Amino acid sequence: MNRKNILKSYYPHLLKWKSGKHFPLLKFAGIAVVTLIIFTAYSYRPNPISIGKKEIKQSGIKDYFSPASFGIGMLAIKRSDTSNQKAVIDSSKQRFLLIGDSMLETLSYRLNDYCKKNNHTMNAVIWYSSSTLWYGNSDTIAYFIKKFDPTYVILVLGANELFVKNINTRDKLVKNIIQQIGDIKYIWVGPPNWKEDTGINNLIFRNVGKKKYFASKKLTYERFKDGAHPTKKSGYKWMDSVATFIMNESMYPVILEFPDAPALQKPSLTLLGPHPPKGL
Amino acid sequence: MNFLTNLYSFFIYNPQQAFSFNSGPFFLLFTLFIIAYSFIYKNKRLRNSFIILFSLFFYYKLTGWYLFIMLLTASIDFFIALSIQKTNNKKRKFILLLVSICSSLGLLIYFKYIHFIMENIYSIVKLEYNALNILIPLGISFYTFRTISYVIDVYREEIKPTTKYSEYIAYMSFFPLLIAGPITRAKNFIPQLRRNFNIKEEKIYKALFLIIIGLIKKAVIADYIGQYCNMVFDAPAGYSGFENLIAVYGFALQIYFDFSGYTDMAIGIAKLMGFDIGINFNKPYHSLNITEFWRCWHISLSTWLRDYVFTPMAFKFRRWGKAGIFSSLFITFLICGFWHGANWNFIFWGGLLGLIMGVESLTSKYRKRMKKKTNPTLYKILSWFLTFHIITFLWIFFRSPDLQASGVIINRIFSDFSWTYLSPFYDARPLLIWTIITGFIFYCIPTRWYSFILLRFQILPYWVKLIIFIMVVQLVIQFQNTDVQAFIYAQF
Repeated sequence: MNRKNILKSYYPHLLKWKSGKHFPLLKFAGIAVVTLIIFTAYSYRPNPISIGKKEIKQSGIKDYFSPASFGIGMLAIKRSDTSNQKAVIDSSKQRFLLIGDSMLETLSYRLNDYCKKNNHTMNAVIWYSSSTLWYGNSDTIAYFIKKFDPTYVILVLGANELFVKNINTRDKLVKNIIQQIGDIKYIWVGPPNWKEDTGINNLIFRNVGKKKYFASKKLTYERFKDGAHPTKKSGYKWMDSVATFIMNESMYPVILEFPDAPALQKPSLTLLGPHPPKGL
Repeated sequence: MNFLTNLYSFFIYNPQQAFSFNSGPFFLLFTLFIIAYSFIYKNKRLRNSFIILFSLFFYYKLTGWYLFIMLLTASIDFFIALSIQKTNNKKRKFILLLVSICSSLGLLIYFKYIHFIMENIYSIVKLEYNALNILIPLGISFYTFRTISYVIDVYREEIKPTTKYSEYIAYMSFFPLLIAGPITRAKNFIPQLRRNFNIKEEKIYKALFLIIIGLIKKAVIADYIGQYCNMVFDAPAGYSGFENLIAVYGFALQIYFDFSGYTDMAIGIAKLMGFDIGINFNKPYHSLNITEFWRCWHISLSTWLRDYVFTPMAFKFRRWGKAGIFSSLFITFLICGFWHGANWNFIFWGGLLGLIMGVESLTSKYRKRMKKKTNPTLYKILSWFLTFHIITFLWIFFRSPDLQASGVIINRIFSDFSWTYLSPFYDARPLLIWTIITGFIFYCIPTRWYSFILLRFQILPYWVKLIIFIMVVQLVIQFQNTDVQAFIYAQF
């Protein structure tokens, strides 16, 4: 049989193949393969497509195979952030900016005591219900840095995103927040977990490094009746631990001696309502 | 090199990596599986071997080397079932049955309940308990019930045991059933392994339709509502009565869509491979009493409990009359509660269910009389309303982390409820409200409409089906990357 005849004899089978009669399951496989190709290709696009204000989100397929994605967060850490060498303590007066979510309310009172004792000054900004999503998608931090001109920023953020599913999508937002702080000395106080998180603590840690990250989740707290916020007493102890960390272990140690008495004046607090930035 | 390393790690057990039916890695591997399967499924031996290999790999990806616990259970029961059949001595048969049940339940108790048992013993003797480092192998409750039913059926001579080890391993490890059931019986499944398949296009599109419906139910509706329910149930005191009430209704929807969605996907995947594993849910929230609800909810579990726990127990207690039925129901549902999880909450939930079922069985004649005297429509509406709310109320105990939290939720609903929360709630979480409304509408689609939509879907052009599937996958991605707003109140 010559080549032409062989092809002819196979033709009915090819027709059956095309109509899916030989291997009907391949029809399903076809749908799955085309879907996979489309979503894989789209996940490699640098930025997602937006229709109006709505973003067509990308799948995480790239994360499984792309080596770069395994280093999420690492780009923001300098080598000095991870070294064990102890930094020199700064004895100058500091202007603190305590900024973040509602968790910092009790911290602000205690930080005020520390400022009184150590001749520092402070301003606190509470944006209720906020998260890295809100701060990362707005210039709120940059605005308050410009307004108060702090020498030291203490960021308390992450409690409203303990259960976020695809936490790596917040990576660029965390980086944006760090960028807004710029060259100012800062530490990031992690959320006081009441339950294991889905990775926000790891994400912050990977971005800022161990010397600028205070792991609040390691402490135990007495909580308000809401089961989430630490009580005033517990919040004071929390701030004591943060102060000890700043003075002894942080990247930028400053003098924060234990206060003997509470400050007479209330801290300067700026309260922002629980409204997301425009466009979210 | 990095690519190869990542590819290698893709095939290795990683507890951080999701591998459920609605996860990307599963979708990728299942696509490869189905391509290979489409060429070999007509060869019985090759097909079954391939299913076993993929199933074992699937289970390894989910639980790592706990895979061998499942294999151990399967091996013990395979040989015991053969021995039961071979022996004519009734006493010996019974002892073999006991050994099998004890070994299966022993492993289940050790892995699932040891912490609970030890914690309670230590708290009674007022000592501090240092938890042992034992993880629960995924799906252990399901495969234990499957293997127990197999051995009991052999003991009762309802089925002949399979003589092929591979068949039993295929039954035990069949990946669509492994994690969340249905608890398919050996007598329904093993004969299918011996059949030659002729998978038709019509069946494939029905399977695809089920997978699409399952994805929408599980990965869109249930998972999104679940985010909100998790937040509220974990710290109920931080939320208003209104928010707690929404979480309670939300959970009733979430648990149904989660479980039935996963089951739809499992049934669809099995159907693609040529297997029929039955249904597991049949509009349970349409029920007019709790007994009816349990006939429509997790059907494979309720029939398992009926056949292997309730009926033998009710037979044993038959001399007690109604008290016997009541006790059997109560104990059966206590077991049902404990099966769901090692926590007093589940036991309490099961106990309450048992009590209600018992009361229903005792009052059946009275209710029938009342039904005759009342307007049928009114009776139906009232019965439905009462049943739905009893079930929803019981879910509070099922979902709460402990009994104290259940109390807080109930207290918040009754002491802090105000409609004024509606407006700020909607402003902060509009998508959640719309998802819940869509969920209820989706649930209420009549079965005949569902069949009509399925038929329409089957005859759609191939490229339309492709577009629908792509759109559903994108919808899943959109929802998976959208978070529900946590706290919305100011100044706690």
